[in-house]
Amino acid sequence: MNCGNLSNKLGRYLDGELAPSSESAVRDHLDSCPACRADAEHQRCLAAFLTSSPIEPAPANLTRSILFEARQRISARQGSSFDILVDMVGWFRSAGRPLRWAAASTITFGILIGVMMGRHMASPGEQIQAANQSSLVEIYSLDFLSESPSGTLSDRYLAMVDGTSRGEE
Amino acid sequence: MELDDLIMQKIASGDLGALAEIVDRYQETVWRIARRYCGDSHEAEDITQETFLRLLSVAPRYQPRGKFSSYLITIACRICLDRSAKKAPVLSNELPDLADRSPSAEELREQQEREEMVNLALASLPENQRLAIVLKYYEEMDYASIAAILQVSTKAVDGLLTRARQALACRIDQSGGGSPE
Repeated sequence: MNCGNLSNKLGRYLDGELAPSSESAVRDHLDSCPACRADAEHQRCLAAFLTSSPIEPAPANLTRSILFEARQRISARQGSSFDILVDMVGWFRSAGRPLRWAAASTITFGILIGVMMGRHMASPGEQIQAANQSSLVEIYSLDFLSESPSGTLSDRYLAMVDGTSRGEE
Repeated sequence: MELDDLIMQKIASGDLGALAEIVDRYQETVWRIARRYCGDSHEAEDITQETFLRLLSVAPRYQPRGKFSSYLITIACRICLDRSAKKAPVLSNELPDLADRSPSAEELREQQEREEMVNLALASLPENQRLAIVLKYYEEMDYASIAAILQVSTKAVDGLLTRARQALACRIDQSGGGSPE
């Protein structure tokens, strides 16, 4: 081994990263070459210098501040309906095929039931409302306004009441 | 499955106690890396906090492959690199002035000077070289672990460390008084 070869391997040798056979070759060269030995010593000193100043431990309140911030984020996440939706989509993707079918069927069944119940419950109400609205002019005794000339305030009011009742039907 | 992997499963379900356990186990490691990398305690505090908070978001997708500590250190290193990309390192050659000249204060000053010199030397390195040095000398990792964290080959780690050592030796020699020899 010559000095050029050694300088390529010196770092790995000092870091204990060389194969045993290469390691012994480097050691033999270092024993016989004062210049390379000085290089090796220089690198050892550098490592010692870098690690000579101990670092202070983490601040005492760091754990508390991490957990405080984490709690805030978890609360925010739990409150977000978008995240709930994302979680549901994630669950749906990760679930097996039978579970997916079961979930999809349940949701579809629920929607159908909802629509049917909605129609059933809405019908009587709509009829009553229509009956009420058709006689609004009579209920509020607004017949006297029916002879008002077109374009007058009375005529507009009557049209509005009439129009509203039609719009709501 | 390792204990850390089980704890990660609990974190995925929003278990703060589990997060507290991970923080307790690895806080000092993450802190040391961040502190050595950026040379500033406030910045290191932010990096450490961000590293553990990021666990909250990655925990649901976490797959146990290899050591959890390497996974966590990789997150910390990415955050270090991201922050470096956003802002240039502040290199200061001014040392803190200590008015008190008592022997203990003198020792403290020497310690601070040494610390400052190490910080300056590390700050002068490119980000990847700096991280390689931090992981090698302060976390005593082997090349394979460093390569996995930095996502490079072991040969590349060797190259990073060789160039970093040369640059550090030059920097320390130039700053005078702090020669490693």
